[in-house]
Amino acid sequence: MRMSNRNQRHSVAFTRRDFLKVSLAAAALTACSRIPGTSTIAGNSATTGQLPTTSAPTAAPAGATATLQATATTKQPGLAWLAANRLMFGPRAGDLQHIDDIGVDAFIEEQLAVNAPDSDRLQSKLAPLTSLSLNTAALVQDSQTIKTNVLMQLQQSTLLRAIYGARQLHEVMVDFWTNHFNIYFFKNEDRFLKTIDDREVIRPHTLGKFIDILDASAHSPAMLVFLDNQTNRKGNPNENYGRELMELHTISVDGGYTQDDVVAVARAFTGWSVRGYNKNNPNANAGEFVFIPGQHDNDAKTILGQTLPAGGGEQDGMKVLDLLAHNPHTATFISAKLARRFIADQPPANVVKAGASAFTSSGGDIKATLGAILHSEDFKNSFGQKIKRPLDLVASSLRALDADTDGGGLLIGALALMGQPLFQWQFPNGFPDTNGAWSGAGVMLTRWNLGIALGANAIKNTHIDFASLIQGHSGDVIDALSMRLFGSPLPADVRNTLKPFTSDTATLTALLLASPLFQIKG
Amino acid sequence: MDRYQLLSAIDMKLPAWMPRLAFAPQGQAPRGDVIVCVFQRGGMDGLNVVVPVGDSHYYQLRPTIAIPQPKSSDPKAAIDLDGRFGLHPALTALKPLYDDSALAIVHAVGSPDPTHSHFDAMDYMERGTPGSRALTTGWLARHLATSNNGNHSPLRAVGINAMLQASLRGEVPAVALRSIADFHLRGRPKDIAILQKTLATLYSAPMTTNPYLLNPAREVQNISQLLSKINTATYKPATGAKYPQGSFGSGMMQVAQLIKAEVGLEAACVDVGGWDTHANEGGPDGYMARLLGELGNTLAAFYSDLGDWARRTTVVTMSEFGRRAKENGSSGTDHGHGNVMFVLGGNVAGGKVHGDWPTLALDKLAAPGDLAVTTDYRDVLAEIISKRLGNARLDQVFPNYTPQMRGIISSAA
Repeated sequence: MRMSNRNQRHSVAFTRRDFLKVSLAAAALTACSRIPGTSTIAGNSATTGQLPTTSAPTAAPAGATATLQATATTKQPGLAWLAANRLMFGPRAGDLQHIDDIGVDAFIEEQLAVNAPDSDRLQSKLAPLTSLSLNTAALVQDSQTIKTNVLMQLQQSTLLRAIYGARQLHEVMVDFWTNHFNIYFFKNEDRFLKTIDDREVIRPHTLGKFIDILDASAHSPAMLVFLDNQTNRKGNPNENYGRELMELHTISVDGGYTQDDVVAVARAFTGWSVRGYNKNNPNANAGEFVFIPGQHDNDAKTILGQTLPAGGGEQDGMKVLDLLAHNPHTATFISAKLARRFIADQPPANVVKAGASAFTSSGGDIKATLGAILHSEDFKNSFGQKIKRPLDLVASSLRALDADTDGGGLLIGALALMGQPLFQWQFPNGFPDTNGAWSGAGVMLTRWNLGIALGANAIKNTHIDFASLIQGHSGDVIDALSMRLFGSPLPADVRNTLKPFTSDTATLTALLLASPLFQIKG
Repeated sequence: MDRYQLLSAIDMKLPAWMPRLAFAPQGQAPRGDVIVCVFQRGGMDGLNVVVPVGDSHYYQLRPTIAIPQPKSSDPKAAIDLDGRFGLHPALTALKPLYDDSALAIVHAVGSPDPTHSHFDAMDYMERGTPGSRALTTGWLARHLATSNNGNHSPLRAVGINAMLQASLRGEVPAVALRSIADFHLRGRPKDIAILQKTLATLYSAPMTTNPYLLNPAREVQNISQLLSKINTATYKPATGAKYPQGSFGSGMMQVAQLIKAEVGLEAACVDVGGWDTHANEGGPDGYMARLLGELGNTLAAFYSDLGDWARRTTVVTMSEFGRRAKENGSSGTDHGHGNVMFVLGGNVAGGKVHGDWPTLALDKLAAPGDLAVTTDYRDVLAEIISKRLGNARLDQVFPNYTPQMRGIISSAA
């Protein structure tokens, strides 16, 4: 189903009304999560109501209803902008035009299918990050001898791929799975092993079958270390991995398991371990997955009512993964998380259901699940429902302004200040994916300060060529930069507010990057 | 000394960096203490923190990680509290506070909900409604909402974190911030005022109505204004108060700074993570000993830094659950249930380990082998709220629950 968007090319302009609509839709949604009867902080009319079951809130602020209803029958302005912010880390020059040309549904398919190699530009940016391609033994040695900052390089590579990568939805989904299968970088040997997990577990399986990424994660030395499974032995099991495998990776806390199930799953994974690294006798297999039969509990186990007969060995764990991956709770859980990422904090129930049913009927195919969610009307009607997380903000700023950057230094620091220090969320559940988590005062201040620093070209090894951004544009500098950032001119009142800064590109850029509209993720 | 005498005594020795600021209308200043809620994320192993040295089951259950029974000459032994319990040796800094009756300990305390999930346990604990998600607000937010005292300070409720702690989530504005020292707009000094003014315009109705953007923007403006009057960068803790390095130490130091600056702070939340000790937990030394050293030294530094303000400050520590009584095969402990809380500050019935000790006998353990909970954590919080914070609306703070006063706050309050 390809939408006819030919006539829509020039309708992407953000009008004052759309801008308000974006804000109001979000306001209505937020208000619903507050206690009924309390006034909203925005100072607008109090909004009360139940959680919306569709993307149109059941109770919208006075005046908003008409606008929201009107959009259902008119074309969706800014749909390209929405798609570029959700499926990509924001638009680069030309992206919005491309999406308008082929239509959003075709663009979704394109992003699901894209398999282009990394551009020369990205490859040359990644080339200095030598630790990305090393094995464990070499990583350990490397860090001891030439003091490579393994974490910084991994963070830089993440940011560089978000900024320069051609496979944008793939990159967005790498971030999704990195958080779904979160690993805290500083848990013991994970300061070496996470680089390998990123390279061999998350990236290759990002848009494949769920069972494959689950299986890769279960065999990932970084995960086994993070959740202590390398010390999970028969007779005295360690429950950490077994519990989080069910609660966070598959069937969720509502998946109907008991403490007995936790213990049984832990027993099934006894002996799943990691080869030790001996610095006096480095061997090539150090840090690799190993199944140690002598540590495995070979007695029979019952998990969620299914019996694993005695003597299963390594197959016990494999069977558990299979059982969990195909449990209906897993389909719903993964679908709901994807819908929360791509549509709204409280995604409509019908889209979660559609995603779950695509997950099930496709045998856990991640592309099919994503396709069902992204092609939904709920997606197209989700303007203003998500604000940018810090990684979205940093990457989208640099993409829109075509910055030349090494992705390091202060950019990484700004992410940490905003509460998203990459690979350093300590808990196994990953960074939160809801608006409320990213809207503290300290985060807001850093959003603004980042804009100020970028506008002034004050970040080392990050450069924006403003002259060439503005050059050749028919309108004034405000229009030139707005087209870059939003694909449309600004609403008149915003434009008037910024008018005094026409001759000061640094401050103008700072204010545009710090503006409320640029904090919205489509 | 009543509150007003105390305040004027404090006024006499205001250091130069501290302006006199009044947020609450005259005569309506916060009635009670500042409450500082320390959340130990990950599930602290309370059995190795306040060690049941008198319970022989403890030593049977923990062959490799137990803390030895008190012995005056042994720096690796537990520090005797009352013959039944001993403090982990890394907590030496807390012993003088216990001896001075400033520190009370509650053992076998926790949530009645049996979940062993970190996230469910934290969620319920911070909502203050174990087993129910009917209310979307946090217990501390409901306390603030029901003790409306006219305090409009933008720093009335602060979470030292990038993300606001769930216990502060609710209808009273609460602000999440990591650092007060560099809470200001960067850029050329000549531009700051116009940047602030323009951002204020952009982030106000009708140009913005999204509350996720509008509210924090307004907070930034209000807080910067307020903090610009305090020279946070040159803050020096009181003599003898040495905060350990790290985010917990610096977080607590910032809370002390806000309390002493009288900016209207009533409730603060500070997190300290790293307690999920499934493996290589250590005993008298090792991983958790280092964490406890940081915890104890920070709390002691905070208390001594506050000086006279300590009398109207109550610190309470909590963690989502304790850990399994029996150590696992990785020299660690899996998720458990009953745990320990510390209450530190003014008028605390300190120098005592409160709570009924259920023992670690096999038949006394809660499934699947955890220290049983004999004191609901809400009892501890409710007693602080009613006796120290002067809020009688416990029915609103902890709906559908009737807290029992356990005598953790001295009756002379």
